[in-house]
Amino acid sequence: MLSAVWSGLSHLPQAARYGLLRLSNWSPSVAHYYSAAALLCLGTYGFVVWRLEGRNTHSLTRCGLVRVVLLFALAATGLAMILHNMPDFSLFGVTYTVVKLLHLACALALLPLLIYRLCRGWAGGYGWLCPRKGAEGCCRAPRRGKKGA
Amino acid sequence: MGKGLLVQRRTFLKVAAGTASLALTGASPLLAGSALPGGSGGDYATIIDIDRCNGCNACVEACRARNLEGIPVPSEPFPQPYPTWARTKDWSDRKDETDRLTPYNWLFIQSCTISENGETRRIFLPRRCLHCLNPQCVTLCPTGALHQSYEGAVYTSRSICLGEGPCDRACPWGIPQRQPGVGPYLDLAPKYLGNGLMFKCDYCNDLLSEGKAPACVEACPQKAMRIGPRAEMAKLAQNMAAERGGDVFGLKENGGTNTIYVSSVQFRDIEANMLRQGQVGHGKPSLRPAGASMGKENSLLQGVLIAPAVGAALAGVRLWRDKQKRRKS
Repeated sequence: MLSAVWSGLSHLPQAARYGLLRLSNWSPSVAHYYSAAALLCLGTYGFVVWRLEGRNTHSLTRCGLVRVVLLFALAATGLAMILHNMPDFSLFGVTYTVVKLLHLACALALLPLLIYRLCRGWAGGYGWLCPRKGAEGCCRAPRRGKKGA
Repeated sequence: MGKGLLVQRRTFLKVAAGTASLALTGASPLLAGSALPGGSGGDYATIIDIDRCNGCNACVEACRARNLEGIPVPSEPFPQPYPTWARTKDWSDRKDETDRLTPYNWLFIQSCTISENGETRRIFLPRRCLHCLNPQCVTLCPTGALHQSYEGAVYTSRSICLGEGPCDRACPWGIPQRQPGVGPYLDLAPKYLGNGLMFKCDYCNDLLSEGKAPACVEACPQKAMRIGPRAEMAKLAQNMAAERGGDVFGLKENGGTNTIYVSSVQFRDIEANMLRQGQVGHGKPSLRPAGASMGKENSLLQGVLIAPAVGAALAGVRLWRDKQKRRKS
């Protein structure tokens, strides 16, 4: 995740302007591709396990649902951009801009969401998941025993 | 510029022979002045015949007549960017410069003298954006301000370009040129974000989408430029080079471009002479044979596409093991 964020930020022009995150002889695109592969692998793993095993006991909180939507949009737009980078496939005109800006917006939106989730955690709420009614307590219990997503 | 032109008999014969053979073999290139076939789709490529170009500057004038007025006037004084090493170079007081690429001059004639078998010849190359098939300036633009059109034009959207992106560094030939003091960055945080607008040849994208040839192609009195569907143009360029025993530039460079130069002289010799005569530098692009710059990234595609399958497989293994454990207990 850190690598994906790092290499993603390196694509922003401010990274070069302020002399941050940019090393000579280092391609942020290649690092981003590797990070994307790792995140897609882990994301699919987590989704499949939750879908087949944890769905009866866990449900997504509103915060968790937004996160899933953002991650899905991030993956879809990322894959579209990867395909665009291939020699024989292109997204033309404004479509490409929309895909690109959506990818950037989704990535940036994850940060306030993470901060919100941490604040909720500190305030005693559930994070990304909460236990379903009637299910055994399997999520990490809220710190101050406060329930509700 | 035309003063140095020395038309060699050998070159003339080569060009004449090549053109005659193309006519005889039935090739029908779309010469300047003709409308493009509408609705055929795909990339349109321009062939620039170096042996025909005499450096008359008509293409440069046509380009400037079409584009110069549309370039916004910078608001002065320019915001001083922070940190101080951020590059700012004002070209607005040098709009008349036509001997290099600037934000106000998107096409120029690069020239050098070359000696061939004891004979001296002046070479003229109309230089502008090559409109790569897989342009990394588009790929790396962080705001998505650079687009590629269906016809193969690579053009900038001025409403979202912040002028700070890596397009000029990403281009193997350093084509995009920056002008500070213009663009949407002025309405944001001009000191800290953005640095102007990037300008380069847009292949007369609107004309191309209407099925018309770009202004430079239309203006060429020597018919040194011709445009048509890329597959046809690539074949034609190869035939022309083969007839003359010459060379082609743009078929494979940077993964292929929509501007294809054909010459009876090898391009590595032209490049060497350009370098020797100080004709290559900032705003005066080289002819270096760049490889496909996104090749490494594209080679990773399979890895990225297979990653979700690997994740699903790992999840399957974990679920199977959990099932086994539950069965045992």
